[in-house]
Amino acid sequence: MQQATRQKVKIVAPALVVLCALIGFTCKQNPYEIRELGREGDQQALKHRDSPYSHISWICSDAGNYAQLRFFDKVEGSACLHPTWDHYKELAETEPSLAHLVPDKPWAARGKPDKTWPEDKPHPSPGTLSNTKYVCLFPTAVLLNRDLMQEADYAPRKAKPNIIIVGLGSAIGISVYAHHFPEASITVVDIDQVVIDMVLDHYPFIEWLSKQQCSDGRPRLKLVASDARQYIHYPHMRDNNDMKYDIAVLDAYTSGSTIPSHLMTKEFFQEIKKLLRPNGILLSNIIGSYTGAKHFVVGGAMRSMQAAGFEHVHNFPIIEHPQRTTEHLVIDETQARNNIIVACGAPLDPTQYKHGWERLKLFLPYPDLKDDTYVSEQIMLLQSHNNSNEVVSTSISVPPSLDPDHLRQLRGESQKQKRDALSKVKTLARSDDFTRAFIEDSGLITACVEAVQRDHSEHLPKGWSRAPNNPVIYYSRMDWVLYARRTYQRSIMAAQSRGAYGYMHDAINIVGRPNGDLRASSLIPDAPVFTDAQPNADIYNR
Amino acid sequence: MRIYALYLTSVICGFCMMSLEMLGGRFLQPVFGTGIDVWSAIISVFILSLSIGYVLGGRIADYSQSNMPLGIIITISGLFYLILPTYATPFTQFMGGSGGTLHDQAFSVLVAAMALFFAPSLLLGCVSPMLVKLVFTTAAKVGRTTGTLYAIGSFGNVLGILMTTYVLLTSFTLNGNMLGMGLILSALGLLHIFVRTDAKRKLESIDGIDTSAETLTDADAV
Repeated sequence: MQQATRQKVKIVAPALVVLCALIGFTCKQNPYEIRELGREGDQQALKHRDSPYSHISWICSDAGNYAQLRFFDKVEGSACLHPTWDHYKELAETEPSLAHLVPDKPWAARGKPDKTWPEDKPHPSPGTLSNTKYVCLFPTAVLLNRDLMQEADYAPRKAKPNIIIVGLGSAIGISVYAHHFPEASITVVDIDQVVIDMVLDHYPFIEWLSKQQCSDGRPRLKLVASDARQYIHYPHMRDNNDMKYDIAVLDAYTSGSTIPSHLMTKEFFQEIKKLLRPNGILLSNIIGSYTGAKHFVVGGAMRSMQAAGFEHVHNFPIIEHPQRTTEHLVIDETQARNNIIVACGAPLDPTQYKHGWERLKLFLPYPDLKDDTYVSEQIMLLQSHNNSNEVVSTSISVPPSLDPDHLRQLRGESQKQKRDALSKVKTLARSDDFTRAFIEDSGLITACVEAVQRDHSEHLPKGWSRAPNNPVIYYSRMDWVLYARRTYQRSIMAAQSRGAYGYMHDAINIVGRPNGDLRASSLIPDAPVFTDAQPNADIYNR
Repeated sequence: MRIYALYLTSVICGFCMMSLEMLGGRFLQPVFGTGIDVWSAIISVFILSLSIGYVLGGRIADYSQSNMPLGIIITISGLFYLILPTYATPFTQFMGGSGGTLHDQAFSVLVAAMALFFAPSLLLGCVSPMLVKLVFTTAAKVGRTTGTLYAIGSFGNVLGILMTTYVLLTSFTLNGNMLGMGLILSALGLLHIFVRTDAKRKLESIDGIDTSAETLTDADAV
């Protein structure tokens, strides 16, 4: 290397370092940034803690009426902001069946939301209602539980289940059990203390519940930060060494919709079976399809449960778009969905357990909450690409500067306006719980677009263009109570569908019998058994 | 003194390289998760780029007798660390979102890991052979000196992995860690550029072959 080159290097190198440092410090992108979707203040994220195990934030949305707990930008659970817990306290004065959900003395919540929480917005304090579909099926573990129901004289509200839940999430599963079964004693095991702290700080109802006791002295809620496999394996980690649980719920997910592989093996299910009473039930939330994505996860889980001693396994699929044929519901087998897989040592299918299924059909989620009361409406302006009506996810909520007359017209507040609005509507789905429609009134659309441009004259929200291509107005209305009820009812209806070989969602039809018969004709004939030696449930995830 | 400076260089470069491996997992995490396929992609990309770095580093080491190329290499790797936060997230999101074209997710995570980490780890892999050249004193002690150097470098690796996971990620943000290490590496590289040291050239004769300095030294060495 020549002397001149050396001199050049001695000048160029520091300059490059300074330049790149400037670029790095100014242009760095936040890896876990939660992007603003539209109306300012609609999505307020609390960037709470930054641990190496998780990045979590709560997001509250007025427009969507929910508080979401997000892990790495992905939603991991949500609770409805209304009815609030204070509202429950008012309701309980006239509705005795809600008394077990409200404190008899004034209650001071443990934590306060982050100092970045805007001062003019009320702190979130949800009740027990949620808009997550699969938790509506959690009560099936109580209703199909022979011992529990017999001890409760077949009255579900009097059941006294001991429940162990693996995976906290945003505690909506706990709130469902707490709402419907006043005498439930729930133990929750989550590996991450940060998640537990997050929920206790932002969900005052759960924090109160963790200090309450049932009428016979059992704690209503116990939160444990530990690996679930260790907690279940080592009796010394559990204070009450010989307590047997009635129900075990497996709802543990790491990022990427993956169940940790050590919680999906035959040996783990065997240990759960030892922890449960003889007719105890294991309920798992497993995402997957029968013949499409993640079918080995679903099939493998079912086979591993069968191999572990839960001979009878039945699936309650969560229905997204029901298609009705006669009185049953048909699901798309290639589509991945939440599957609530219920496993028990005793028979579970409708033919062999008629009384259980009658109870399932009679059960009503949230019987003490009124419908048509907790309703959220969302009106969004969408732009579609390619001159097709394919909806692109860049959307913006109805801008605040929209003319009140236009707003009333959108919401159809008078009968005449409703008729006018609906006459120009292309309805996507309409049922009593969930209505979605495109509104193609060009006058309204123009007014919305102008309002957006007025409100965002400085810079537009991310993904939105100044002259949107083919804008449409998307309107959706959801009745949260009815939504929960219909989800439950649709799933029960689908779960009892029959096919050529029997019940379509019985494990026998999906992976065959435990002893191997009927495997060739089942949907997933080559489903593996996950063992500790070859756990692999996360490899089959793709 | 000189030898300790070179050992310290080895520790710092080893630390930053393994730290990048752990931080890289965090960069890929929001889109690809933390499953075994992500970690196998990261580890395989790092080892591949290290092996290519060793080959290149050896060639470059023989080309020059001073620590100027070492300084340049370390500085460039520092520059990569500094600007990685600007393009890592958009790129991974682009890779994760292009499920249509790169249908196999395993393939897309490999491509993402390669694009993000190949260059910096290759450059840091070049450092090892160049340091060997600089610490080399005599052929009789080559095993000892090289072994010590690699041991110290590996110690830096272990320190990088453990400290990143348990201390750095909890104390600083992800981007902060990258930028901090970029500054440290750049400073180290600039130090090597400005403070010159040459490879010692004491060679002893082996089996009668004349290995004296006049015959073996590069004619226009700097």
